[in-house]
Amino acid sequence: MSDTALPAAPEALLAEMMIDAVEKVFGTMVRRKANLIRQFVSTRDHSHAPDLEGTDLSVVVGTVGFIGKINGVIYLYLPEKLATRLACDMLGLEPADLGDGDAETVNDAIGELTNMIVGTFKNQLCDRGLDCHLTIPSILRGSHFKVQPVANALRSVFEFETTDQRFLADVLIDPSHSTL
Amino acid sequence: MPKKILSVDDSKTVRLIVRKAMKPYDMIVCEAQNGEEGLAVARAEKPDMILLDVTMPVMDGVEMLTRLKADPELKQIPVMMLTAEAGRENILKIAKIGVRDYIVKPFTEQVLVEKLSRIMTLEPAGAAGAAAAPAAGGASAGRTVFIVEDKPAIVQAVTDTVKNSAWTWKHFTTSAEAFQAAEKNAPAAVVVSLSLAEGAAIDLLRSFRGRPALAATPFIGLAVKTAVEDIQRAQESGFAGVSAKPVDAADLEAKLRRALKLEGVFRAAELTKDHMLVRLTEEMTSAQLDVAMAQVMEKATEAADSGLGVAVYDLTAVKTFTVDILKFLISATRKCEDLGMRCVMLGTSELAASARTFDESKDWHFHDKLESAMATA
Repeated sequence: MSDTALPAAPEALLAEMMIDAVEKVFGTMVRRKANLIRQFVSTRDHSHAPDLEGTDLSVVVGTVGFIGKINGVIYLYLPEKLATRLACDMLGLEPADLGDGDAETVNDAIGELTNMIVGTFKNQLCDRGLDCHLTIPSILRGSHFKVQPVANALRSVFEFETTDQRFLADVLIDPSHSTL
Repeated sequence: MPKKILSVDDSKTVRLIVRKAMKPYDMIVCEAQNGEEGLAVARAEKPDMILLDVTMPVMDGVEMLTRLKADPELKQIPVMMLTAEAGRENILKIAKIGVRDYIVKPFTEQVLVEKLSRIMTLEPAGAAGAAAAPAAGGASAGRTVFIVEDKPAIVQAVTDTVKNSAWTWKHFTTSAEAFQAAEKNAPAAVVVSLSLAEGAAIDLLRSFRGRPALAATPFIGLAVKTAVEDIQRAQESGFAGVSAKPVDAADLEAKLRRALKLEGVFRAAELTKDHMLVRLTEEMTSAQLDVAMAQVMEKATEAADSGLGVAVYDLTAVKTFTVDILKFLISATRKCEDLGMRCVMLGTSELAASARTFDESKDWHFHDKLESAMATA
C-alpha cells in the first residue's frame, strides 16, 4: 500500500481532502457554498486553539473520530444560529418551525453533518490504503468551553464562511502513523 | 397496498430525510435507531426494503445485515446501505454479505428515490385507485417514450432506427411542451437532447422529479461525445444514461430497454464461432447483472459442450468498475474456468485503472482489441 498511502509531508493533501469534504457535504445536504477563509496547517503546537469570532457566542460542536490504520478526530465548531439554519436546511424547515426545545433536533442534524464530512474525509484516507472506521458522532453545546486536544497531534484548523457566518473545522491526527 | 420501507439509522435527521423523500409515494416508513431495533422491526413489519446505516450504537449495520441474511424469514428482504462508510474494504466486506445497492452520504433525496425505484415500484401517494394517473413505467403508461429534440434530423434518425414493438415515440420540440403533455399522460421514459438551450433538459428532469406521478420516469440524454460538461451534469442530475450523437441505435435501444425494465430482452452472453462473448453495457444495474449471470451460467455450459475454449468479457462500454461488476466477473469467470475455458477481458485503460483499485482485480489485464485478447487466449 506504500504507493497509495499519504506522502511524507501530508499536510497539503490532508487540507485538500478536508476542504473538498466540507464543500461537497454543504453543497449536497444544505445546498450552500462553504468558502474557505483561512487555514492553519501543519502545526504540532496548539497555540492557536480555535476561537470563533466573539468568544461569548453560543456554539454547537460536532465531533466524529476515525480509528484504524490512521487515527484522528475532527471537530466542527458552529455558532448556534448557523447550526440551527443548517439543521433547517437539511430537514427542509424554517427556523421558526423549530421551537425552543428543539436543540435535540439541531444537535442530531449537526452530528449527522459532521459525520458526513468526516466520512467523506476518511473515505479518501481509506482509498489510500489507510483503512479506518468512523466513531459515533457526539455533540457539545455552550459558550464557555474550549476543547484541549491531545498533545503532539498533527493539527489543521480551517475557517469557512457560509450565509455570512463563520465556522471552523479542527482536524487532529495521531502523528504516530508511520507516514506522518 | 402501500409498500413498506424500514430506515435503520441512529440519526433522526437521516430518518426524517428518508421520510420526507418518501412522502409523495404510497409508502409506509418504519424506523429503528440501531441494528437490534432494526431486526425487531423487520420481524414485526416484514418491510419490502431496508435502508441501513453502518455506524450505529448497540448493534451496527454490518452485524444487523449478517443476522438478517442468516434468518430464513428475513434474508429475502433487499437491503440498501445508506452510510458515510465508503472505504473500499468496507464496501467489499458489506457487499459479500449481500446488499442490493449502496448510497454514500452525503446524498440527495433525488438519488435516494432513483435508487429505490430501481429495486421497487414507487407508486404516487393516493394513486392506488383505478382512476389514478398512470405511473411512469407502469403497464398503463402504454410505454410511450417522449423524445424532446429541436433538430428534426435527429428525431428522424432516432425514430427511424430505434424501433421496438415495446414502445412508441412521441416527439416534442421544447421541454415545456413535453412537460405539459406528461402531466396529462405520463410517458414510460424521456429521451432528451442535452443541447437544448439554457439547460432545459436538466430543468425538465427536475420538473418531472417534482411531480410524484412523474418522479420515477427514467431520462436518457442525447449529446455529442465532446459535450463532456453536459454529460457530466446530466449524470449528476440523475439521468439514467446518455447516448451519443450521431445516434447509435443499438446503444440507445439498450438504454431504453434497461430504462423500461425490459430485462427479459437483455442479452449479455452469446456464442460466436470461436468463443463465448459476454458483453456488459455502460451502466449495469444489479438486476441486469443477475440476468447476465444467469445467461453466463447457461451459455458457458453450452459453449463448453460445443468445444469453445475461450470466454471474452467485453467491458469496453463500461465506464465505472463497481463492486457489483467485480463480484459478477469473479463468479462468471470462475464458472467458465471450472468448465475448462480461458477468460480474457476487453476494456479501456481508464477501466483497467479503476479495476486496479480493488485487491481482487488489481492484476487483471484488459485488452483494447478482440484480436489481441484472442491471441493471448
